[in-house]
Amino acid sequence: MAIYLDNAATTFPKPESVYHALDQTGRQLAISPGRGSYSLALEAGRLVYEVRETVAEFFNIPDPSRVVFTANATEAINLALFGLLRPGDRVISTTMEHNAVSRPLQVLESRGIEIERVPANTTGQVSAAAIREAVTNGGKIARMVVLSHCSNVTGSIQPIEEIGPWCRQQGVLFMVDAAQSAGLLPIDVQSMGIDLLAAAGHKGLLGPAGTGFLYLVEGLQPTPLIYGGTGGNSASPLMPEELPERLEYGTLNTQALAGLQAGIEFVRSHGLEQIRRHKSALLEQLFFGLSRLPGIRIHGPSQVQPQGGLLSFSLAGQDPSEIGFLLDVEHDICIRTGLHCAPDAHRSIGTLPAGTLRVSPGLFNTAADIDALLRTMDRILCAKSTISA
Amino acid sequence: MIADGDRIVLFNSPTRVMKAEKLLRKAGLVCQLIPAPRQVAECCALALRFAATEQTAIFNELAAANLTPRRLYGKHQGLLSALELTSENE
Repeated sequence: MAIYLDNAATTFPKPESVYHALDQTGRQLAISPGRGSYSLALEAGRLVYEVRETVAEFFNIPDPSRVVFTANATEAINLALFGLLRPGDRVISTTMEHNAVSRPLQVLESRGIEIERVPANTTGQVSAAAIREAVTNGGKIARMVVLSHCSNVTGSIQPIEEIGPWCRQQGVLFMVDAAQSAGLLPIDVQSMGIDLLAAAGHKGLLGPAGTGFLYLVEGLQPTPLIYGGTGGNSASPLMPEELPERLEYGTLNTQALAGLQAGIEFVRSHGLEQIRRHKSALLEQLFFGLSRLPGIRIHGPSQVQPQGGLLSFSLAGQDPSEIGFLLDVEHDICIRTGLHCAPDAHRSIGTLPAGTLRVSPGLFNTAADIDALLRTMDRILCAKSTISA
Repeated sequence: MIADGDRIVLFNSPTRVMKAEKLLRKAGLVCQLIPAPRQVAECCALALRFAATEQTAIFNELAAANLTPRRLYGKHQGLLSALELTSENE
């Protein structure tokens, strides 16, 4: 059995309750929700509404109808950025963003939207003061601040609880990419002043791939990116004004959403604190184990700083992709190597072009898995030093 | 599907009608989701049906949740007609 340590990409395996929900809903209720009015379709519609409520409760979202289901966090981010920003707007982001944020911003920049990327320090941290300064810089206040809560490269956690309420006071939209933090760190859209929250359902929330959502604060009305059937207002040639239907086109994946609900319930029943404690203990074990190996450089926050669910490192004179290949092929250990779809972040921490090796344990990994990784790293490094000698 | 003395309300989205049904059932009020009749289905394919005698309680519950329906219809002598959106109608 492989040791899977790439949970920052997607969590695997899922809890049994998620598989059960997928199976049961797939067999009994994989019906198009919000379309027909026969009993099964209504039941599917009720189930989808319950999932909306579950998401809303988990993030303290006051109105479930402001939760728009998407295929992933990337779609949610694109819906918000392309749907709301207009030429002449100024947007503040950071140099730690995943391509899900940085690529849409790059395109928007070519369409007359001004983008300012606040630099992170070498551990991947961005200060709230630097964001505030950028927002008011140049005499024209920014329209939006958009950043990732937790870096998928370094695990650095950005101070959204400081930035959000300040943005709200200033009338600046605050958007958080919670792809790496949802299901790991507490997120309260009201107390944190979050106007737009984009998250994947298949990472920390433990749902299946193909799930995600965008939360939009009351009053925001983005232009849709895709147009089509919504289950209501069928006679109208236009998309409805109301959320979530305005931004949800085509048939929703009822069974995947049932899986997402089961995932969130699992997280809720175990508690974020316990989940984080488990992952932190594994990362601490990894940190100290790696620190004893020759030529290892660990990137990201120090052990005394708060960190998300992953650890990135590199080896002097070694190509991360080769080490990753050896771990996989010879030892059945799955970790991520390279740039992790976030080249700006690697530029910030000085790991371009090779990138890093990233280890992201999940809820079902154990100390024995980390021990196995450390033993294997030791063997690989010994073998390499023998060969080079 | 709709009998004399019944009321139906339409909302502006399928999600809102689901929300309304859940809220009303939780409050112990009797209502049922039905396909919106063809002549009134312009805003949502689903309607929420209830007895006219429940109208006040249902409208109060919906108002408390800031869930105002978009249309209200009543059936009288076999004819469905639009009614004013208030908690009581003659």
